[in-house]
Amino acid sequence: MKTEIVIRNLSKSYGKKQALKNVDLQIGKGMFGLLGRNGAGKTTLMKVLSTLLEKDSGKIKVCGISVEHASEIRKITGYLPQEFSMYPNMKVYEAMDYLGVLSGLTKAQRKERIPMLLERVNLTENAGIKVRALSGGMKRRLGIAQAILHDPKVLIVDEPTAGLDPEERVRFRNLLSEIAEDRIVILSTHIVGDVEATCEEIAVIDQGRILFRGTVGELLSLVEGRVYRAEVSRKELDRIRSSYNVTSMITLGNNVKVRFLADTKPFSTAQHCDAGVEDAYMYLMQREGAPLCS
Amino acid sequence: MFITLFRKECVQTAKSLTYWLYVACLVLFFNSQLGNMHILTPPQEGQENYFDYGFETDITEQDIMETGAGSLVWAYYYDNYMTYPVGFAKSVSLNADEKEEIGDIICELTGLKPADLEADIAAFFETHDIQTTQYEVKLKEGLTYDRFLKYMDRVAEILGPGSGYTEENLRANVQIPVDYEGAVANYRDLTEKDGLTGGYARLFCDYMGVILGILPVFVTATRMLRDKRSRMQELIYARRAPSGTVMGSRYLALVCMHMLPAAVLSVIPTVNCIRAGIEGVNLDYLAWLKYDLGWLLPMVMAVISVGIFCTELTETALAVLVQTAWWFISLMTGGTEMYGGSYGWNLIPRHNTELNYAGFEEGIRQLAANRIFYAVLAMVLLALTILIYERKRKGHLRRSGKIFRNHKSTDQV
Amino acid sequence: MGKYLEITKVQIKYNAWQHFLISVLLLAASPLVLGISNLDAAQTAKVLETYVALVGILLFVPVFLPEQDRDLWDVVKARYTKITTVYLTRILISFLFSALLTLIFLMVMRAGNCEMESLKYYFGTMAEVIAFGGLGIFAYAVSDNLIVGYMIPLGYYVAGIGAGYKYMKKLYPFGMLADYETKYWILAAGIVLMSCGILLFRRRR
Repeated sequence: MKTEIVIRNLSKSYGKKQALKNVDLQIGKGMFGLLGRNGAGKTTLMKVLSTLLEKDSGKIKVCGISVEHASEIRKITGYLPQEFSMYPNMKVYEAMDYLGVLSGLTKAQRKERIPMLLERVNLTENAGIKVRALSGGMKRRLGIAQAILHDPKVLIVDEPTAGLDPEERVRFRNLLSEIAEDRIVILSTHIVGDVEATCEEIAVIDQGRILFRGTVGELLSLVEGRVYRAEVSRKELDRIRSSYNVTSMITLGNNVKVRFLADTKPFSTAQHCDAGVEDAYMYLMQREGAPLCS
Repeated sequence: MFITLFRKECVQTAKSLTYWLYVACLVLFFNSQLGNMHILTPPQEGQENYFDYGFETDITEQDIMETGAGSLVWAYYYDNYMTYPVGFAKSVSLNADEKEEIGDIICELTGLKPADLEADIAAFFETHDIQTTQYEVKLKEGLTYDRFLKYMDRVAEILGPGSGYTEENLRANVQIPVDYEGAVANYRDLTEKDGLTGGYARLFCDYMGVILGILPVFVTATRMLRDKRSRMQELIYARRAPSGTVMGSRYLALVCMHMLPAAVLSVIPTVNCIRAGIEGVNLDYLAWLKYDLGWLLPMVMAVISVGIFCTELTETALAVLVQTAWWFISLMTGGTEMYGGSYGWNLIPRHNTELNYAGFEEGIRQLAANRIFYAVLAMVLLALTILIYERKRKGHLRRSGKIFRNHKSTDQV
Repeated sequence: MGKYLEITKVQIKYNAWQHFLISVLLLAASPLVLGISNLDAAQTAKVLETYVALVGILLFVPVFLPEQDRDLWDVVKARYTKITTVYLTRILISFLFSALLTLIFLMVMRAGNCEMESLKYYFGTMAEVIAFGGLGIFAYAVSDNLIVGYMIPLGYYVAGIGAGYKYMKKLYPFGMLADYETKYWILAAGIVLMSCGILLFRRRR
């Protein structure tokens, strides 16, 4: 059985609102980043993959198993929702144990795996405290531990870094990268830095459609050689915005540092610079219309 | 997986505040109603009275007719007809035609014209004590029981539901205190047929049923709302455990945990019976268990199933409202059949005496049908709950998904 | 002033209307189960005390419900309006609504030729409504659990029926005829419990 997810022509709508439109994706082993703004359809896609939502049409196979076979899929996938918590009066170990039972683990397996996973997410010392006493970052780490409790082939993580401080965020990404060594990890985020640092493969999704699918390098190549930066006055900013794709701005007193895209050097003070994922992402987001590739 | 989950659910229940409130209520209620239970001793000839030994079991048709007609005359004379549709008194006003019809019926039954009634009532209470005696009226010669019932049916029809003139209520209305022979007979029933403990186990069920008909819904609703409140739903949804296992283990754990304290309490009356050391009694040591399982268990099952069903369906406290209403109506309608024997389809059957084995024997088929019905109903509701849960796991019927949350400030009840 | 109107609007639109509706249905369904005409003084009191007063549980207990969700609570708390003001406004809405419902019910009974001393009965019933509501609000605040908030006042109700005046003395909920002084006692208890409930709920989060 190949560790791979194949999505063909997937559509899903809530009433009149179409959340996913003819999505085609192929996802292999390693970290896969799903990038898009809030409401783009990321959560919907992830829920469909983890059988928490039924699709309207299309085909999905997770490691060769069709998504209709929910119980089979649930055996091999782990899911961490965007918003979650656990029974607040349970101790960390108890909560893991409870979820372990629901995943069908035997007592021996639970005894072996839970301490190991708590160690891995650095919660060993907190095993005896109640869930309600955990900080946001600890809760996220516990979330990851519960999602890989049954050693799934696929781990689906929805916006895992939301609400974490920068240091925790870095640690969390590293943790995910480790986990992704021998399985598929799908990570959704609206924060470009998350995928830039960790994902080999990414997809950009907007309004239910896949705008881009490829490696980080391929994403960068969309804007390679066309990124310029300049420090301009506020007055000039409007002109630049109307003529170019502005990808970022930082205000410095009366002046503004802008990054923008241009095919040739636009004016003398503009400096050519290396493209970043954020530039490419902003470029995709602003260039409404047909997807570049699928 | 099922057994382990069941165990974990039991532990969770045991750690919940609502559960211990439930246990406290149970113990308090038991204590207040049955705390100083005294085990009936054999009647002695020449005792001052035999009030403790129940009522005559063989009521004659003549008794029913005289008491029933008396009560109708009384209501007609004071133009005050009370019915009890669900326990509350409801005063029924009749129009002139209906009044006339009742007057005619009275005349058919007793031969008395409306104008003669006052004199008859006055005459009756010259020889009887108005405080303790029900008014009885002399019937017309040759009135058969069938004819009497036919007239009473018509009266019941005029007055609407909950009147005292259906055959069942007419019979229940006649309560003739026993004399020494009757007391001995009733007591023999208790000690021989009922094994003494049986009568007390039944009395226990009668009392405890009153609160077991509602209390479990609180613990159940709390447990079911907990997943949503702790935002744990999706973590559980995404796991491999089948919906039947998740809900089934939860249900079974709730039923067992609710029955446990009730079962422990039910042993107390049995112990009291044994300790009373009454001679010549054929003690039934396991009566408590039979009654717990046969009488209380189906009720607890039904209440908990209403709890899980309503809560899983709406994710609100609706179950509390529904069960309170059901309990209220059951209790009030049951209030007219306190002495046992006519159990009907009431969720909370009443048999508020350790005696009246004869009535129990008469009603046992109905009671069995009643209890089986509620057990089956509970299973059906459980199945529906599992179905709902399965649908929700696949993204249907969910009200608090991300999609809706952006638009509404809150969607809880 | 606009602030209070806004709280009222939001409360009714998103939260309270269901409870209002259920209370109205409860009272509207009464003729099916009990008589509300031609009753004597004792029967009238029984209907008011054991039936109508139940709206207290329905209307007052859910005042904290919108904040059961912790995230939402943080949002509400962060606003400049004091959370206590929000609760007091909601309680006032519940109070006005229950007062109105009881008044209408009383008038219907009077029109139906029930025997009563209107003012005395009205005050007595409302005292009980507030006692039930206060007990519910307090139980909810202590346990942080809606279900317990319903359970405790219902328990009080059942205890009232089961134990009677003999055991409950001045806290007997159904003392309209037995001892009218109980009404002042339970009213005071209800108000105290309500205040404690608000203070507790504010502090526990």
